[in-house]
Amino acid sequence: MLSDREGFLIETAGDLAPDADEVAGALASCLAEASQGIGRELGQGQLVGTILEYEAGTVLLHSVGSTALLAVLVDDPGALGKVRYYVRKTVPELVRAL
Amino acid sequence: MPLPRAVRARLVWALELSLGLELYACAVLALHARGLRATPLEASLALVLPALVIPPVFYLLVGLVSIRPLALAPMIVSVATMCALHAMLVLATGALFMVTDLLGYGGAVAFALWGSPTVTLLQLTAAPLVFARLRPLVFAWLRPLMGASRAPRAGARAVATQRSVPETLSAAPSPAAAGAATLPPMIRPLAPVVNRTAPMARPPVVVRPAGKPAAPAARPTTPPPAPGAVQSVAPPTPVAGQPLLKTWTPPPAPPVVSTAATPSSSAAPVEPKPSAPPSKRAIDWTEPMVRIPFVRIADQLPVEMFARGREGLKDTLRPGVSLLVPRKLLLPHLAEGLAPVKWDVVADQFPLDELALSHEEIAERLPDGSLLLPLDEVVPQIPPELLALSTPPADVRQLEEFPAPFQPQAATAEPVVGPARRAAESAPEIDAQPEDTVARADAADESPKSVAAPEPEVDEEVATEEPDVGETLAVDEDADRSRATQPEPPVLAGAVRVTPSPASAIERDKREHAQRIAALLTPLLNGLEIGQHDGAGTTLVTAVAPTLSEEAVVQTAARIVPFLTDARLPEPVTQATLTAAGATVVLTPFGSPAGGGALLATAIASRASLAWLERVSRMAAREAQSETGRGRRSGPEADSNADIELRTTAVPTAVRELAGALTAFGPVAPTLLRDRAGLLSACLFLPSSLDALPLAQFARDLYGALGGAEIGRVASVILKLGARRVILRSMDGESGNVTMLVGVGRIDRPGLARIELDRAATRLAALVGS
Repeated sequence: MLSDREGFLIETAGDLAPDADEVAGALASCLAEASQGIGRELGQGQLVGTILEYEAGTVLLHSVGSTALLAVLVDDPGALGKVRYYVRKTVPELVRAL
Repeated sequence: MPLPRAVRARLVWALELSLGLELYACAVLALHARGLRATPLEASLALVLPALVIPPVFYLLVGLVSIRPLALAPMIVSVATMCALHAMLVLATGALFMVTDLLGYGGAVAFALWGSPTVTLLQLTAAPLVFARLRPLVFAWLRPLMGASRAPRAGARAVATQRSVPETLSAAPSPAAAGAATLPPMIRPLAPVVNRTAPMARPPVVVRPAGKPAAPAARPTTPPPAPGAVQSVAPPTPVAGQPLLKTWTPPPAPPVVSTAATPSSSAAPVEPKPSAPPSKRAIDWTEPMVRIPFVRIADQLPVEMFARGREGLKDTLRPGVSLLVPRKLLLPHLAEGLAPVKWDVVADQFPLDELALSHEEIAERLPDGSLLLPLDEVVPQIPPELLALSTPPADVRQLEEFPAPFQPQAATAEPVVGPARRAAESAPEIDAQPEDTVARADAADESPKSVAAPEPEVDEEVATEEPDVGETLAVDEDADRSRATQPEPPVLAGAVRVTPSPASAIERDKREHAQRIAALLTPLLNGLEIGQHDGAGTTLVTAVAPTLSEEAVVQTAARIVPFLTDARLPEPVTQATLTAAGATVVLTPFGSPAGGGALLATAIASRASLAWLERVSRMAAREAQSETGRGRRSGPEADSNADIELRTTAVPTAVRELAGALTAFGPVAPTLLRDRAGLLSACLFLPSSLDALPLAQFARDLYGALGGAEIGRVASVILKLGARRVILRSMDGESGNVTMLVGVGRIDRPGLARIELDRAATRLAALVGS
């Protein structure tokens, strides 16, 4: 799920419940803003990404430049490393596309 | 089963003492084995005099070196004791020579005294070593002789090598060997014994010089000893939460000097003698203790209490040095947020030879004679079960209502709509309202904005009651069905600021809507200030970020209200978002037609939560929105811009190409309109089903209405019309002309739509500029 920094959906893929992508995008931008504030207050620079672990899955949240956010829901924890690799590889392309 | 630490310490102490004596005996026997034979000696002055003079002089030097702090009385006692030990060693050595060398005892003692320099050297070495182990006993016995004021310092020498009471206790000799009653207090095990006889004989008269401050009175929980008792320990009268207290009193009458004085069990109060040392608590070292690093309380101690001043204080600040305080002494004070401990309780844990002041004097220098322990050190060492509130729940069965702010916790945990449901069940008639509701509504009418209750209260309570959006909306539906009979939620009544307005049924209905919406928004949009205003023919409920001007938001919203139901739009507006440089305003119509409708205006400075804000606002107003405005479409406002007539013009190829790039809008066709003067242009990308001209005029009027908006220049307006979205942007040309860019479509990727429209705006601006 790709959303802009205001939480509006840019693109989505995968099997999500209706409206789940919208909600995820809206809340992801709120979370990114808060996380950005933490990094700013601690002098850690811009937010690169966060990993949210839940009982049923893991959500990778990654900044795509300064205008968008990429959220990836991973059901299989074993695939986390591979997903992170592809996310990092894909983000520059997304930045160029946006 | 391991031996208790005190027993083990006493055993070690006795072994060390025995070992010193045995080493001496072994050394003498070794000399004998190597050919030393005792022979009768003449008692010449040249031999006897050195044998009698050298040991005292040597022991004096030893005393000068080892006694700290240096004082005459301890020095004399030390030298005398070592001389006595020397004499005993000489006598014992003589007995040994008498056996081994078949010599008369007199001759053998004479030989032991001055017959061999080697033996004399052994004696000079052994006597101080033995004295080192006996010193605590000696000084404890002789402490009264040294005077009350010097007692602590004399006693200090008795425990010069001890650092704390546990260690001191462990150094005590076996009560069986030395007699527990004869042990000095500093080396006597305290905890297990409750009734004890006097530990040692007291001097007949111990008088504190006149003018010296009297000793502090004994603690009220411990009856002082009866007259006639030499030393008594407080009878075992345990008080809840208080340890047993040991009170020391000097012998009141000269004739009574006995180590086996009968302990007094009388509770008759007796004034403590002026020379009495401060009372000390008998600490049971087996009970739970709280350990406080000494460094945390060091700043409360007077520097002058240390014999070596700051140097002495500095030495105690080493890591790992801690005070042990019985936990039960602290528990009664924790509820007050304090952890005081009397100096008497911890006094024994300070090495007395390091103290320059008596305990009494130190206690006088401390506030209330106590040390205040740091709570952050104390509380983590208290088991949680001891910190649990033991207060029983209040009995509120007979109380029918609780005036604010005295509502019990259970009452506030009730859902907001609980009263509404109850009211609906108990009062089926629509117009029937509880008296208190009417009164509250009237009061709300009369109350100015300043009477608004603190917002956090609303946050807390509503947040507790409304855990998530789904539940909120479910509750909202039920509440709305019964809203005609619903009393105002008391939690919200004070939260919404109400402008004066007629207290009619319609107004009350509006207000109920507004309050309900505000209640739903508050936990979701924490930090926004909730208000209510009347204007532009509608009730405006505002949720505004504290950094923004509420008045500016209200005035800007009033500008756009007529356009929300404009008939030129294909559908009524379900949400409008105005974006300015420093603020973003989201307007969401809600409310029933009977109630006249209302508008929720939320304004935020940061746009990071804009999507969430829009969604929450829509959800909060969803039910009402379905009814609002349908069939009540209004015609265009008095057309102040009617003279700006827009006419369709040819669409350049470059603009047509832009339409292909707007994928998020679906299939759209470009339309270009201009006024006669060419000052205003409108570029619309619309589905073929929509007529461009009315929308262009709508955009023109809206643009004109928002000119000079109070929140700043509005850069874009997004209107949500059911499944469609209308995105309106304006671009100022260099020559003063304005180009409006309007995109309309069924947009399910609003982020993408905006990106594409931004790109289109950039390219269009370049085209207009060229």
